Parts: sequence; structure tokens; C-alpha cells
Amino acid sequence: MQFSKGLLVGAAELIVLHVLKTKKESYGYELIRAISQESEGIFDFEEGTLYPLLYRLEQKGLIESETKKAPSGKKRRYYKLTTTGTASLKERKKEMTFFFKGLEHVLQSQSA
Amino acid sequence: MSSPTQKFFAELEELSFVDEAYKQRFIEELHDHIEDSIHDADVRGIDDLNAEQTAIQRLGAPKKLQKNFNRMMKPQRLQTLLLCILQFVGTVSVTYASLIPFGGIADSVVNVARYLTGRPYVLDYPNLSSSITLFVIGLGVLGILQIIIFQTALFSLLSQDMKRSVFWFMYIFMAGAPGVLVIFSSLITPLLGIPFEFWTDQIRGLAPQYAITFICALMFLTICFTLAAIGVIARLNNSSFFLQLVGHLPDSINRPITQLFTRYRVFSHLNTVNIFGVLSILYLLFWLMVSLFPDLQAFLQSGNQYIMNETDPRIWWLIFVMPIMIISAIQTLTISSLFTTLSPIHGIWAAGFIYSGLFMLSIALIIISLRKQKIKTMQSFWVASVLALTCTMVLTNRFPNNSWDNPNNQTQWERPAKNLSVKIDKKVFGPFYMLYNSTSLFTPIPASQILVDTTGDFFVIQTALGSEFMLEFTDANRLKMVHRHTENTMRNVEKNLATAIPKELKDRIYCGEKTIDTTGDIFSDGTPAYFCTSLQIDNTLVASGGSIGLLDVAISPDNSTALIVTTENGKPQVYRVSLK
Repeated sequence: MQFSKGLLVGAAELIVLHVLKTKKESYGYELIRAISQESEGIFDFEEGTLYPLLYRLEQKGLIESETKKAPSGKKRRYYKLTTTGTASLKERKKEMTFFFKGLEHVLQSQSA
Repeated sequence: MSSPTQKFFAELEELSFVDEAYKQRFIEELHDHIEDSIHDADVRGIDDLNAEQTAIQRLGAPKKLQKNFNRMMKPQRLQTLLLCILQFVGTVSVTYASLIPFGGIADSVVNVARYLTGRPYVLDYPNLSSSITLFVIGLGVLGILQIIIFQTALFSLLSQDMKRSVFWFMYIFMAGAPGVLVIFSSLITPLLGIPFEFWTDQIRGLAPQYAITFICALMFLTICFTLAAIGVIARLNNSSFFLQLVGHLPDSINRPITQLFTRYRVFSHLNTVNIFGVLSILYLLFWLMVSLFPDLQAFLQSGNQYIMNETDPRIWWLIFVMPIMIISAIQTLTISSLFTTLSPIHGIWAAGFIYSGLFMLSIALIIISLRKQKIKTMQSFWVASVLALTCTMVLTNRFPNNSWDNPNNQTQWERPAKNLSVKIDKKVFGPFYMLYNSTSLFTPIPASQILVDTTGDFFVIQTALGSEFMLEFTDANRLKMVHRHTENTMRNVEKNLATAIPKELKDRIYCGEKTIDTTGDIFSDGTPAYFCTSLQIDNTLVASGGSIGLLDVAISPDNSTALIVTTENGKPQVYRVSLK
């Protein structure tokens, strides 16, 4: 299912930050696969979206990157959360949970 | 034959991204990504070629990737605005700084020619410290800011779908044109300077003529380039740029505009060549009409006079200066106000050589694009450009009755009044006042030279902006600007250029308690040589109080009239003095 851009804007950063936290560190290809697996195929990030998103998060200081060897033996750029990123993730999760709680209430009352 | 991956990356490399550093990283990571995809497919038993094609397909078209990237990485509006401001400051410095070595080289060569022909030396460039300061400031920011502005701000604001080659063409035009072209044209200055000096008698008067031509042409080019740049963008986006642009507006505004563009298809034909072609023809026609119909010329000139004499000088400044050199004049004025005064020749040379530079650049790029046969639009663009430049440089000067070329067909000057006063008249001269106001925070820009005609009734003042103005005393109380200076008047007054104060006047001017040094020459580059507490001529007190600086004095050949320019407490004043 395709999501509208507006819906994905805030969520995409949260998703990437969350997956990076759970995996400690990861590189682009691995991240896309992990996001797809953990969302059971619902979030299938395009490469053209993921990489600029990572760069933007890096510019904001929420993640940092370094090049090192992947298990395959090839060099890959690994991304991981910074302290600011961890704090931001916590805050965003709280915000999003609260948001969905409200949304759920509204949608339930409408369907009732 | 190249593989799908090679083809994909070649195409991606061609495209412009808002952030070049991240672009390289993006490309590297996409390489890794494809490699991982192929490896995974390999594990699943898919053959290499199929795996490669599947991986490329998944990535999507390079243009789509570029659009995504640029959309996500484009700078904020505030950032863009700041970049624009920095860009302007950077260009100002570079433009002006580039005049320094260029002016210095030109003067050196010209002085060699003057030495050989026994003429006095010239020195047209400002002082060394200001030049070095500007040069350092200019070059320091040139490489960084001009590129940043184009890589990010302008690019992301206007289009995300631009080829690298076109991108650089636009960069030269819109960001780097003044600096790049002045530097470029500085290379040819000495070549032009030598013949100008050696054949000065034959070409007397041509320099100001061309200066005016150049300045007018700059006005034309500024309009052209602005519109043409829009045209390039419109063309690149298959004329849908405007529709895309209005797409961002609220529906209430968007709808009528969209309808306008859809209904009137003329807008969709807006492209560089058309704009240049139409403007070239209009420009050519304008000068043709002016040349063929002296009445029209007189009408325009009378309008010009009216504006100069009857309106607030600041309005005149806005009308005259702003359109002429939207980029160069503002930059030159700003920087010269901040650092030093400019001699008029800079304005002339800057205009002229930017123009010459553009002309040569156009020809060079036509040749390049003809060889490459790549960008048809740009080729036509340069052809149109050369056409326009040729029109202004060559054809307009060859028209009959062109006032710049044929002094015998000048508009009749208003005759000088006969009832000349013997009183000393104190006047505030419009352009000085204007310049003073526009630069009041900095240094006023005074006249750099005053010329007087044989009757003593006309005075020509060259300002530091490079403009020349002719003044006339119509009666004792009225100092009137009758015309912007042209070649004809230059010829008349040139022979009578006063270069020293005659003894008759020196003996009659008193500067406070002191008489002016009889051996001194008060001519200087806009800097008063003497400051007095009062200025007195014969027994009449002209001015007193504060700091009165003598800027310049010009005398009619029969010693009957003098024009004195002073600066009083920073404000320039003009006095006409009857010496009889």
C-alpha cells in the first residue's frame, strides 16, 4: 500500500531512528531490509528516500556515520544514533504514541 | 557496450544536486546498494544480468532519485535568503576587486604609450590598500559563495531538473557574470589601450561615445539576461515552469493564473531565443527611431532635462542609475562608498569591458556548442546574444543622425543667458546632492573633474560614478543641468580644460586667514587639498564656519568666469564666480 507523502514525513524519521536504535548500527541496504521485515512489508522505503533522509538526520546531528567492513568483507557506511538522536527518538516516540492514542479515540468514536 | 549500472550512474552523474558533497556519497552508497542487491539475488539463484537489471529497476529513474534527493536536502527559505545576501556581497567585492589589477595593468600600458608620445601620465585606479582589501575579500568569497548559491539556493528554488552544463551556463550569467567577465575582459584591456592612446587624435571623442553605448547596452543586457534566464528555465521544463510555480499558490490565485497560461499560449513560447530576438529588434528599432527623428530625440532629451531639473534628484537617481546597471552600478557605488572614490574611467571601462567580454564569450561559446552539437537551445541563445551585441556595438553607431556619432546633428543647446551676474552664486548641484544623500552614511562622492567651455557658461562635471553632466547658468540664480554630457560637448570643452589656477584667481581666493599656496594645485582625486574655516573671494565672503574644503576650480579661457566646487561639512557646493 502506498502512503501519502504527508503521512510519511514525520513517521519516516522516527522509523529510521528506531530501527537504528534496535540494531545499534546499520548501513543503507541493511536498513531498508530491516524496516521492511520489522514492518512486515508495510514500509518499503525507496533508496531515493532513505539515503537523503539519513543525510538530513546526520546534518541535524541525530545520527553519525563511519565507513567500516560489513560481514561480507566489503566496506559500507554504517549509521548509528548519537546521544541527541537517542533523546530525540524518545521524545518523538512519546509524541507519536500520544498522537495515535488521540487518533484512535477519534476514529473509534466515529465508527461507533 | 555499457552495462545497465554504468548507464544508470552516468546519467545520475550528469544531473545536478543541491549538495555536491552528499551527491558523491549518495552515488557511492547506491553503488554499494546495487552490489548488495546483486549478491542477494545471486544467493537466490538469479543470474547476474537479471539481478543487475532488477536492482536498477528498484532504484527507479535517475531523475526521480535526483528529485527526491533535492526535495529532501534543499535549504530552508531563511538559509536561501542569507545565501543570496552573502552572494551579493561576494559579487560586489569580486566585481570591484577585479577592476583593480585590470585598471592597474591598463594604466601601466597606457602610460608606456603616453611616455612614447610625450603625454602626461594617468592613474585611474584607487589606492593600493583599498584595492588589496577588496581583492582579498573578493577572492575569498568568490569560490565559495557563488558556487554555494547556485548549488543550493537558486537551483533548488527554481528547478530540480537541470543538466549540469546548463546549470553552469546559468551560473555564469546570473551569479558570476560581473566578476567573471570583468576579469576576463581585463586581459584585453592593454590591447585596446595602446591603440586608443596612439591614435587618440583620430578617435577623439570615441571613448565617451562607446562608454555611453556600453552603458545603454548594459541596461539592455541586464533585462535580456534576466528574462532569458527565466526563459531557459521555462524551456528546460518544457514551458511548464510557470505552471509548476503557480501550482504552489493557493487555489484562489492559482486557478486564474493557470487559466491565463493555458488560454494564452503565447506564454508557453517564452524562451531564450524569442526573448533575445524580440528585445534585440526593439533595441535596434529604438535607436533607429531616435536617429531618424531628431524631434523624438529632442523630446526624450527634454524629458530627461525636466526630470533632472524639476524633480527630486533621488527620483532621478532611481530612474537613471538603477535600470542602467542593476548589478554593476549598485555594486560599484556601494563598494566605492565604503572604501574609496572611483574615478570616472572605471565606470566606463567596467561597462565597456564587461560588454566586450560578453561579446567574445558569446562567440567562443557558439564555437564550442557548434563543435559539440549538444545543446541546441544554448547554441541559438548565443547566436541571438551575438546578434544583440553586434547591433549595439556596431550598427547603432552607424545610423544616420546618431547624436553619439554625428556632432553636427546634435539637439540645439539652450543658449546661455546674457545677463550674467557679477555676484557670487551659491548653488547645490543636483547630482552632488543626490550622491551625497545616497551615500550619506559613508563618504560623499564629489566630482572628479570639471571642464568649462569657451563661453564660460557651460560646465561639464564628471562624477565619480563615471557619468558626465553639463551645466548651464541660465541666469544669476539658476544653475541648470542641460544635458548629460555627450561627445560633442566633450570636444568643445576639452581644449579648455583648466589644469591649474591662474594667478588672477589665486590672488583673489582666501581660505580663512591663509591665502592659497600660489605654487599649489588644488586638483585632486575628489579629496580636498585645503580645508578652510571660511572662503572668501575678493572682499566677498562665500562661505564660513565649519570645515570648507576646496575640491576643484575651473576657469573660462578669457578668465572671466570660474566655477568652484567645495565641500562644506561634508556636503558639496558649487559656486560660480565672475572674475571681472
